[in-house]
Amino acid sequence: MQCNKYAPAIIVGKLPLKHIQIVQAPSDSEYFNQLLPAIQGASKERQGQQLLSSLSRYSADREAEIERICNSNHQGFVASVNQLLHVRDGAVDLASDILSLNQSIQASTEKLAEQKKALVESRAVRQNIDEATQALQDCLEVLRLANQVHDLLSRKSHYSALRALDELQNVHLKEVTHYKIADLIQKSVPATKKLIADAVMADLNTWLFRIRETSQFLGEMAFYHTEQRRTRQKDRAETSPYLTNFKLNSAIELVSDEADEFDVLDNDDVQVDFTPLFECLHIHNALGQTEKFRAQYAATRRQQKELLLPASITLNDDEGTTLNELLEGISGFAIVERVTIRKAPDLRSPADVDELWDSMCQQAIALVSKALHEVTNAELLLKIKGIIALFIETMDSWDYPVSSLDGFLLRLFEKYAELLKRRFSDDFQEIVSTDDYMPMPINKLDEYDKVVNVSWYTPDKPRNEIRFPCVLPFSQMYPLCCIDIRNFLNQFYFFSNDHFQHPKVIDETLKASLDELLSNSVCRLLVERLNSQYLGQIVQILINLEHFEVACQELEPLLAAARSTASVGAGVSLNATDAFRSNKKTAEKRIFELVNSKIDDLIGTAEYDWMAPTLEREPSSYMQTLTRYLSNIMNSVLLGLPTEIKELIYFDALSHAATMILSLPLASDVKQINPNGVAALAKDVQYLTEFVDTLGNPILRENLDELQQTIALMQSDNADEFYDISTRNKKYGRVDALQGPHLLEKLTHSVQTPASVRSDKFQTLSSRFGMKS
Amino acid sequence: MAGTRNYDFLIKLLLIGDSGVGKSCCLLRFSEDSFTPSFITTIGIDFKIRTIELDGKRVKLQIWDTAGQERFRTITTAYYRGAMGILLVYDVTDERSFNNIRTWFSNVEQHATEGVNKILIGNKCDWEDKRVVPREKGQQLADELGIPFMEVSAKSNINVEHAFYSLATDIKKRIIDTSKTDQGPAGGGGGGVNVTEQSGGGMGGMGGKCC
Repeated sequence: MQCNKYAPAIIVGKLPLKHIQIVQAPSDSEYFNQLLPAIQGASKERQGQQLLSSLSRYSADREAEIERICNSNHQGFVASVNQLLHVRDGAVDLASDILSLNQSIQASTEKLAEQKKALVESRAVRQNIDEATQALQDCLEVLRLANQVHDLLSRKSHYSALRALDELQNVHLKEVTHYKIADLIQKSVPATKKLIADAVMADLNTWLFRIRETSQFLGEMAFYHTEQRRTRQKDRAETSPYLTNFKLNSAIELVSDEADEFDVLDNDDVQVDFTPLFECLHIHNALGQTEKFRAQYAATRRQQKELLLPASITLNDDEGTTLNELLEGISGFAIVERVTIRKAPDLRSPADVDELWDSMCQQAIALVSKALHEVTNAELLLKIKGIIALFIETMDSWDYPVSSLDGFLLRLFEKYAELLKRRFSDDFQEIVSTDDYMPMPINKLDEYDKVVNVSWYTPDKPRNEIRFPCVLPFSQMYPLCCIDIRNFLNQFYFFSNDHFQHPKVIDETLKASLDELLSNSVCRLLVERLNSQYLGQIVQILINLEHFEVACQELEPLLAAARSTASVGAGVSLNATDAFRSNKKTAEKRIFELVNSKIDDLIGTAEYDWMAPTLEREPSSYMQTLTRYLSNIMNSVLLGLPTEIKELIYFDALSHAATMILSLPLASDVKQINPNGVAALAKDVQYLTEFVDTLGNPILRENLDELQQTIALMQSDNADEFYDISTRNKKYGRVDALQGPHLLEKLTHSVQTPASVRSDKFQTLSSRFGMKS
Repeated sequence: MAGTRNYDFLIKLLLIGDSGVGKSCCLLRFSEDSFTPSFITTIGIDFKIRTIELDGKRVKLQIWDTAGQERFRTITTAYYRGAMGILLVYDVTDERSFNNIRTWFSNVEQHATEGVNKILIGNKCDWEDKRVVPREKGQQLADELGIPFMEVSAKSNINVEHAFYSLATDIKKRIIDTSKTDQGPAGGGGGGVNVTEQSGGGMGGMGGKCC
């Protein structure tokens, strides 16, 4: 079929190309296969002409055949040609369409290419932008971090700031080293570090300042806490006496008190936050400046310590406020140090802290010592001691050595004892000088009880037999002094309340002071008053001395029992006991002396007329006065004396009176004595003897023996008996060997009686108003 | 000692008045020229001696100081009789002690020798702040009782000497000088005699000695 189709096409196309058509026509392989050998053979045998002719014939045959075929198929052929033409038109149209299409495609491609180019360019721009953005972002981050460092700094997060700075420097800056900003920031790092260090130092300084401000309050809290512990310790001791054996700060006390643990540094009232310090330390650590910081901190604290201690203090204010504030300040300061050393052992060296503590103690002691002269009152001194003791106990609980302070307390105690002694000495002086030196009247039972309870006095009668009002033998000074003595003892021991490490010193000083007070104040003052002219006062002093002696004897075992040390066994003996005892004798002597001087005064008014013309019938006035006076004083002013002393006084008084009376006729200006004179003397002696007899003590009469015997001798008709040793011993044994003869020599035996006729009345008168000899 | 009499006359005086008016202090001032503020009360009886000179004569004053307290009244009353002069003492700062003077005066009338010299003494006159008895009132009472009056202060040493001297002078005039006039230099007599006689029982009443 194909052959058919090609063949007409070739024919129709170009006829001159007939043989090509032939060659071409049998394009089928068989065709060529047939043709080729033929051509080949022809070429070999030089029969081309033949072949050509054969081919021409063949062609002619073919043409003929085609003509025939075409004749039969003309119509169809025409139709086909037409159709073909039509197709050809369509093809042309299509080609044109295609062409225009191509053109339009061409146009759009160009546009596309343009767009693509733009796109690529955009992409490049965008890339650049991205890169720039990234760079900016990185820088911004770095800047942000850099700013954050400053932010943190301004928010006082110094350590975070430092960390941030480190991170910035070591991580973030490395990423942006190619930017200039990195350089800038890098350069600013040391400055920033310094900024942080400065800020943290500033913070620390604020903190230190606040600590300084808080120190005193902290000390106050610590003191308060110690007081609370004391109270609890006392309460516990009340429920369990065994605990009394343990002092404050002893292990037992600390354990017992554990339940009530209290943080002085962190409680409702005070909070001390060490964070700024630690932060500062930390940062300086981070900065590698620990040593520098330590030194700086130590120096600052030293300065603060100096600020804490004033140049001088006064102790003479209310309740020792100044001292309290000072010690609270020191305490607060030292507590902060102690806590610092515990929390940051690297920061503070124990040697530093100890040195500060020692220096504060020494300075505080020096300050108090300097102001101590202001203190003139034992109560104030006791308060001062209390404050210092509280300080000691508080600081002891913080492991500070307190021995120097303990030693100082000893000095305070010496002063305290001195003040007490002075005050009680003044008190005694006052009591002694305002006493009425009268037996003490008591009106009521409760009054009686009070006096008996404070005094060392054992009443003779049982309490229920006493009728009121009654009189106690001593004057009111005695119970008053007893109260004072008891107060004195108590006040002495007050000093050992709440911490005092030298109880033995108290015992010794107390004993010595009391002894001195009793001997030098009470006893000496009383003895001084023995110079008084008032017999009543001297008598009362003697009685009081007696009671004081008893009081001393009672005090001795009391003192021994009160001793705080276990060194019992050795009893206490007071010198005052002996002083009172021996001065009783002094008082006794003074009574004798005074009574005798009164006797002298009265005998000094004797007016004997040794040469009286008449016989005196009445005893002399002086003798009556004398006996009445003796009797009166015995029944009044001397009444309260112990009987043996009263007897001694009588004994002494009568003996003295006898001597004095006897001296009257012996006086050198008495030249002569007549029997009337002797009789008058005899009458007086008789009167005196009768008086002595009424006293009911036969021994007393012995005092008059000499006087009586001498007068008997003077009245004797036989004076020779005196010179005869046997009769003399019997009758005139007491007569003085010299005075007897002396008196006998003065005797005259005659009486000149110029007025024997005078009335009795006048006789009496003359004896009384008689001429002086 | 008693041989040579160291005085010409002996005069016995008596101090009376309420407890606390200052009798002992007046006496101490007069006898020893001293004053001790004290609360000491005289118990029972006491005396002091001082010799003074009056008109050229040595006059020994034996001054009896009595307890003001009631409980010693029996002891003290016995001394009234021998007294030649009596000082009635009150305290110008104590109205009561002044009011009691009348009682003391009547005691004197009752127990003392008739005609005994008396003087009203208002002590503590230095204590003006506390004074409750005006001078005039004291004078008025003295006038009424017909006796001399003097305000004194033992503490400030005002008039104490004067009071004793004045009383002693009056006594000397009354007893000794009178008896001298009456009896001549050799003996006593007149008023003096009478006084002596009357007082003889109690105190062995003493008169002055004429020389």
